[in-house]
Amino acid sequence: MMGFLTSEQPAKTITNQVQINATYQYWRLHLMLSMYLGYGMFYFTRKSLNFAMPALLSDLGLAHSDIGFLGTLFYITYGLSKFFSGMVSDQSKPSYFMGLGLIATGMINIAFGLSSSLFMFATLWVANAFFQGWGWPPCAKLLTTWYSRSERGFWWSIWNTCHNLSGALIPIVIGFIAVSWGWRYGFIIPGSAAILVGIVLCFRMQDKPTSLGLPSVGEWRNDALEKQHEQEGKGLNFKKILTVYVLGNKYIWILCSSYFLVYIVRTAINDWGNLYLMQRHGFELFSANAAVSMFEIGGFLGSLFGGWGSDRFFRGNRAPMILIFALGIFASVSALWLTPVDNFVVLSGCFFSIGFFVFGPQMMIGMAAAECSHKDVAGTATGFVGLFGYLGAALASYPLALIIERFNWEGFFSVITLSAACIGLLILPFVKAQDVRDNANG
Amino acid sequence: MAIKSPLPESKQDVFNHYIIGEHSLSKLAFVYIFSFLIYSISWFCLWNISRYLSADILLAGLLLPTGLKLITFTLAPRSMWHLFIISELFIVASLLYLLGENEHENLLFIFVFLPYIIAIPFSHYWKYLDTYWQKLLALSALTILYSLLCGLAILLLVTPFNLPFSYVFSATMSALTGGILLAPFLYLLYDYLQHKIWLPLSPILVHQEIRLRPSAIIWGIGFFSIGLIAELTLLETMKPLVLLIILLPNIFMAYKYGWQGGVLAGVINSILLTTARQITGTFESDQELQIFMTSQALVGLGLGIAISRQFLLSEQLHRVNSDLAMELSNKQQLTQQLVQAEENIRKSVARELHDEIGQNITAIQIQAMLAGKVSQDKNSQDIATTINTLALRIHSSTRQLLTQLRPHSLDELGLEDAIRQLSAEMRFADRHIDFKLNFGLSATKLDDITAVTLYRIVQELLNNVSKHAQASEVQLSLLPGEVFTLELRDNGIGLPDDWQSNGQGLKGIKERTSALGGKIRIQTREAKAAELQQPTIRLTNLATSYPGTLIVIHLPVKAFSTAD
Repeated sequence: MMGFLTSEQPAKTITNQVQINATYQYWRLHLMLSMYLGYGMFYFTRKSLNFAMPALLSDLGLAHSDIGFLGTLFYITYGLSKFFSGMVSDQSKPSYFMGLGLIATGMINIAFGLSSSLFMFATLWVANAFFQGWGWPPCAKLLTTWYSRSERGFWWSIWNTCHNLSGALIPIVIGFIAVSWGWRYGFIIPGSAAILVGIVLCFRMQDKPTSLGLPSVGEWRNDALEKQHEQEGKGLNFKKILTVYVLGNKYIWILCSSYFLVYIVRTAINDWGNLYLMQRHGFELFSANAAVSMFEIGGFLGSLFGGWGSDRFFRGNRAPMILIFALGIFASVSALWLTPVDNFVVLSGCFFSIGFFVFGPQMMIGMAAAECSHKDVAGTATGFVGLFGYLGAALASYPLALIIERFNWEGFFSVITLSAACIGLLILPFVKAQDVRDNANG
Repeated sequence: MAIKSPLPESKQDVFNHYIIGEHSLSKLAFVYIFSFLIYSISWFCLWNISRYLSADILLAGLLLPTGLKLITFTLAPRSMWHLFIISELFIVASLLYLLGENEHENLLFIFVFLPYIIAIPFSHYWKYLDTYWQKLLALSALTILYSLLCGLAILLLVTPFNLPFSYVFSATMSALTGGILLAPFLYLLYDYLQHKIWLPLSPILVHQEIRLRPSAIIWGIGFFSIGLIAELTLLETMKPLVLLIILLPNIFMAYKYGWQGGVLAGVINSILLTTARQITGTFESDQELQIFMTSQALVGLGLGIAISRQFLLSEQLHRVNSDLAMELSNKQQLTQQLVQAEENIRKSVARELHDEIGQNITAIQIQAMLAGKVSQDKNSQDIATTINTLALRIHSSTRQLLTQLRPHSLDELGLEDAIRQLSAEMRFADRHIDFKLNFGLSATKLDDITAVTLYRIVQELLNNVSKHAQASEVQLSLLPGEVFTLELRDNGIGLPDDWQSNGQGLKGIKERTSALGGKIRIQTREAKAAELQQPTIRLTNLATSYPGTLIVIHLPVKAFSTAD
């Protein structure tokens, strides 16, 4: 690996308790702020295409299928990049990794804003997907090393809300820019902002606590579970850890498959929701978009309450909470499908509900993946799960369009309702694995 | 950060404390907000689904939300009830404001408060229920009561609102369907998640196998697909038959997994029924579909409860059985110890008798003889002779006592030769009795207690034979195996009719054998086979060569080996 990217060796150990507390408290808050801002920016430059799309279509005369093609290409590249950069990121310094990734993605966005051919678009957007993948794994690494088990649900869910905040801001901001100055600025302005934030990130981030000479977070907070997690499989080499705790971990595979389905539902609702509202319930474009944006608001609350609730009600165990939310996804998707009402508020409520229930598992499955694999491969594990998520997302863009064409909206909803039902079923072995009584009997 | 701390350096601490942590106020607030959100969203989603299944806002509000309401009021602490009331009032008001068409739909407000009123007495009653089937029955009863109350309320308001009478039935049916479908299901979910101790999620899971039940999944899918196909194809033409087929998964799941299976099958089946309606458009009215759903859910629930109860009972029976088995083995162990103690005491008494009394009597005899020789007096000589005779008598009775206490020959010769000596003492040959001994045991493997027990039994049996049987052929076999087998056959006159009540010897053998966990089988000439613990098997070859008496004793080996 490039020298400056490599993880720092542990510094001199700090022994002064007051200094340890102060350093921990300072960086826990500041890292959260940097990650929130950084990942929010990543999300901004990722989704910019979706919302500049209408202007792009009319300006350059591109077809819907071209955009769908770009989307599928993007999702697959992004998923793969997330996984592979997860492996690299676990062995390197998050500050440079995330910062440089953001600078690169900003530059690509600017270049995108300046180009005009479909070939260039495809090339740049794939490159963007590649660098987008650099955003998540460092966050996963920091979230698992700076925050301990009993509080992680809370911190992670706070962090996760940057998806939704960003997701809610994008349509307004990009829409405003595109309308005022044209779609090209819809890429150039977020791109420039991304470069600025990326430079800040390079200097405002840290590696693991141990590289600052601090004790591990489990020791600092005296969290027994966290300490146990830190001890598991200590001293193995990276390749061995990867094969045993990620690729050979059957529970990671279960999580992958349910994540796959969660992303089918998430992407389907997010990308096709406005079209459904317009065709089935006779909405205008603006009100349809507004109803779909309730999805993000629901998601904001859902990820916050899902993670926090799993800390509070189930002592940091994600599986039971995921099960409850999976049932909720099923109920809310059926509600959207079956409701015979054409009212704007009611349908917005349905989107809000789906958002609430989808973003709980969306966050908690990633968290569970980090927690049931080795401490040193947190980024890889979440990246691996994310890869499957984005395969699901890719499936929800182009193939789902074919289903809509062939079987109408009934086919669309059959697929996502079935997916929703299967999330709950797939998570059951995971729930069972955490049941003491069951294990004692079996 | 909303919380300002007076101490700037501990600001972060306060932040942790309030937002994340242990503070009861934030905890309470979190629980309240969380419950409020989940309840409102679920209520809203369920209402939307119900709206599809019913004609207007009111009936939709009575359908699936009823199940959610009833279970929430049952399980949540009373301090939170007002929260749910507020949430529901808010949703109902906005729905009526946005969508309200008819005046009677405003009645939905009444049903916001109705469960509150019946939940108060019910929650007192609920506290005393401890087994799941009582709870499920109580939930079903609550649902029925609630739906009847709904019906009654509508009945009273039919005239003022100008509603058709069939509306009363629709309302009752809606509440019943929603309650029966969802309340037990949500209770199942609560029971499953709440009464668990969660193993923390950690990489240790890597070392644990995933346990799937492929057969159960395949069976379940099979039954449900049969049900779905029947709903899709046959529903129009053969309704009664379809009802039967639809019940298949319920019966199967209830049979396999008890009440949990029954409840789950009820819900899945309802989803399938709704799907079938969505696709084919069967069922003329909403009520018909609801009746269908309710009846299949009730069948599954009832069957599930019955089967779970049976399972619980059989589990209790199993427990009692295993307790009894333990008691029995305890008893056998005690008996062994008793036998061992008895043998030990006999042995030591015998040694004392032999060593002490035997020597002293010999001394007395010598002294008496000397006294007789030395004394000139006739009287004294007579006395000495008497003493000598008496001493001799004591000596011989002591000998007899010694053999009874402890078969001396056993210690000196080993079991096989001791038995041979026993038969020699019986003088079978002199009395023209053909005695055969098959000794298949390896003498070294026998411990002391086993040997003595076997010896005593053989002694008693041979005694009986030589005294009463009038046989000309006797065969004694001792065979090894998991259980020792001792078999005695003769061709004598058989046992007397009243041997079971009179014969002290056989009775003793019986008691000793059964106390040691063995079995004894006795078969006599009269063919009135006496059965003890085991059915008599007529041995055909026996009938020709030894038609007299057959006594077979099985003694478990472990009964002895553990005692040592």
